[in-house]
Amino acid sequence: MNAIGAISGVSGISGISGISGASSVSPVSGASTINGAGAVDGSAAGTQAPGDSFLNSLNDAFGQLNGQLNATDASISSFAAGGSADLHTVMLQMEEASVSLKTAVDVRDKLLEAYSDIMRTQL
Amino acid sequence: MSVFDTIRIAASGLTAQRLRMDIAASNLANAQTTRTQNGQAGQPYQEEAVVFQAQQMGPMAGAQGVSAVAVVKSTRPNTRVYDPGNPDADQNGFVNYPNVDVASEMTDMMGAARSYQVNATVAQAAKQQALDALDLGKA
Repeated sequence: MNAIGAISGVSGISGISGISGASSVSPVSGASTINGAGAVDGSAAGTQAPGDSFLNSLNDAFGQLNGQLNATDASISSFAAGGSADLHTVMLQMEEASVSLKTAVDVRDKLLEAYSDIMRTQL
Repeated sequence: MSVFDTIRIAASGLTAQRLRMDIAASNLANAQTTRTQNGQAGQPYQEEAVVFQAQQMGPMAGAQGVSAVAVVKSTRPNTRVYDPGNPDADQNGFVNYPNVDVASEMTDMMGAARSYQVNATVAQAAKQQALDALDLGKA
């Protein structure tokens, strides 16, 4: 009876090692998806070198957002001044800028959230 | 493919349909015009139509916008009306009126208005899609 109990205990350990195997796989796959997302962002921005830091890419993104807001501003001014811009062009440009701004705000919120999470760490 | 490519494709459709509407308005406004822009009599306004062409918009080959490439004049014969009292009548008393078919211009105008609505709806759906994606980040 004892021997059988010892054998079942061994099989239980092997089960645990199977679970630890699974848990060692999941962080790797998580890291690879994060890398994948980074690669997509880099190709979209087009200006990011592989070794660039996260702050640089953030800077790029905000630069793009600023350019978009400036372009929107210019087209609203030209529309108000009686330029040849179509109403829908101006409106859609405004919407694009608004979506971009919302994205930037969301990214900022996430960053601040992570920052304050770390700041709240009990030492 | 950028989030905004769909919006840009819809925007090209909106611009195209607005031009089509402009041309329909021009045709309807000039349905009885018997002189050219320079005041030349005997050469009535000619019905116009827009020619559209598919245009590559984003990096993806299948996603194409539209652009207007030409405004062509109809070759249909003018409408001749006997009206000797008209100052633009020829020596036989006939006046050349434009070849504009008002009924078909009206249907074209309604088509342009509806297509504009469709493209505006596409733009709205694309924007909603982007906002839905942003909502994924919300708690």
